[in-house]
Amino acid sequence: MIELKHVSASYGETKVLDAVDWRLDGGELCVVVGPNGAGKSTLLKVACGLLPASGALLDGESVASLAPKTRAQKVTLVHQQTESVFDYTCLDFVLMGAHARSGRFSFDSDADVAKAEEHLGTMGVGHLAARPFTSISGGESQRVVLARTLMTQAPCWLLDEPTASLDPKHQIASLDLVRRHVDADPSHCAAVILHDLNLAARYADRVTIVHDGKVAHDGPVADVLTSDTLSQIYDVEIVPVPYDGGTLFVTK
Amino acid sequence: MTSTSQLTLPKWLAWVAGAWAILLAAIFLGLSFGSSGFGGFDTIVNWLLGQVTEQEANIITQARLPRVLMAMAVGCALGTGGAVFQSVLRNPLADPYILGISGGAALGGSLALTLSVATVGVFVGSVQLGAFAGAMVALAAMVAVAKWVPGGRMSTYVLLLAGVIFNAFASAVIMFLKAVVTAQKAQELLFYLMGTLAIEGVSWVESLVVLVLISTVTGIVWMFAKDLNVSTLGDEAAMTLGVDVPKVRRTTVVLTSLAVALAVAYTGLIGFVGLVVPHGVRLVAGPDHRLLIPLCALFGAAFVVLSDVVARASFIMTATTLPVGVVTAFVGAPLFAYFLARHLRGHRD
Repeated sequence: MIELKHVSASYGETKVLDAVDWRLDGGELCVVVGPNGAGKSTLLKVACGLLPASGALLDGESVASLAPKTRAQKVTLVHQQTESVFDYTCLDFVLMGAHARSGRFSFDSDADVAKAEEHLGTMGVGHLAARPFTSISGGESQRVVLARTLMTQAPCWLLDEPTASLDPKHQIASLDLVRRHVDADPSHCAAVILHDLNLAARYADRVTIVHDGKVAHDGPVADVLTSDTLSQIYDVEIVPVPYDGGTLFVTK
Repeated sequence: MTSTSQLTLPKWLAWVAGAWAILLAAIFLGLSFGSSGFGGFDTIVNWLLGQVTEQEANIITQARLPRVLMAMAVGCALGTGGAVFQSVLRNPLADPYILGISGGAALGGSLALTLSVATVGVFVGSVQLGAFAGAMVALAAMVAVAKWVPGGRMSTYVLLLAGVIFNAFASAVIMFLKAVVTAQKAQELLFYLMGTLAIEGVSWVESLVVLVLISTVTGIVWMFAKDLNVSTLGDEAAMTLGVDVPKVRRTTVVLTSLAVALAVAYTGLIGFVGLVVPHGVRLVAGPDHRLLIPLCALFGAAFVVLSDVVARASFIMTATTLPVGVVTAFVGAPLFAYFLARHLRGHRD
């Protein structure tokens, strides 16, 4: 679905991605990990056309050449932080997820409002519907943003640290939601940036490690998340510990 | 539906009808009362029934009607402009003047005023023309800056700073002009800069044309209402949700700037309308631009019409008609302080 062919990207003079090849196929949940400043967020921005770069393809077409609404119907990106300057309610905020599918001028239909309320309920924040988005906590706002992501109906989700402000229970709930989204349809897919290697191992079909603006490693969890690789990438000793039929990653 | 924030057609119609009712009441007062002794609540009915003298009819059609129509036009432009600039720049303290339109218009108008008439070959300019040209130069400069600055959040800061610098430079030139012209010219200049609806020689037809042009611009900007809603979340979030951010920003800012430039070319700089009206409307009707833009247009128009009624009524006490900008500032400054305090209290709680 998404394919990056030898893509490079820069912010001014600073090169952030250097000749990256990467893809995300339907039915796949790819977790992107890597040190701070490695280029993970830029990878997702390029993949969804937010940062125009030649070689970034969405369904075989150059993602930068797609009309904004067409692109938004296919792929959506959730940023690390979401701000709202004015006091839109959480319900208004989630309804904005339907922007790419709605006409130039239309009022909120009962069906859309019901859907938005359902998505807020799914994320456990239904009680916040009438509250201003500016007045809720960081963790609550991340869940409202995920409700908005559901509202977009885009098959491809790109999520930049969606669990950063969440407690463990809601981290699991949010990533379960991403998993369900991917499993719901063969055309659905998701790429999620995470720093928690245990969550990465638990949810990923595939792991991509971004380091120094390049895709350093890419493949199944067992092949990529090894002690040697992680210790080398993060410059700190990380060891896998068998636990309850799975693996926990512990720093030494 | 349990939520109260859902915007439905009946809700929209109720708000817009209410705003129209307030504007019509303001127009009624604006046509009924003035600085002359002639007036009263039955004035309009008597005029429509032809039960007024020719002189009284002339007061309505030649003095009050052009003022009321121009007040509506400038109020509509400033109210809408404030709402659009605050959203596009994601800055609640932005007003339609912030990108240099005020500096450009004031400088252009002041140059024309102090030089009486600017003659270039057979072309004879006026204050209005000078102000409009000045505003267009400012707008062109801002568009050039916007093209030069790379995208992203930084571009908004650079635009704001460029606007502030341009306005400051224009102020410096105007102060220089005030220092070197005669006392009478300096007084005229002061009135113009404060914003006045005492627009000599402008017919009600000319005022109506300005109003229709500004209303048309407002209608076009309104078509971008949903894009503006999403744009307030930031450029990247808006682009992710399908908004063509550069196009929306360019179109809405240029169109509202044109409308504001046209209005202030006639009236000078009427302050606080572009700040107070959008904040007041958001407080009572919410931030949704589908409703915010028409309400800012209508309440902005009503606010300036009513302020002008007060400015004209002040003749009884001061023996001179106050510039309407003085009244909007008197009312607007405390109102804005109240909105700010209320906003800060809301965030602290």
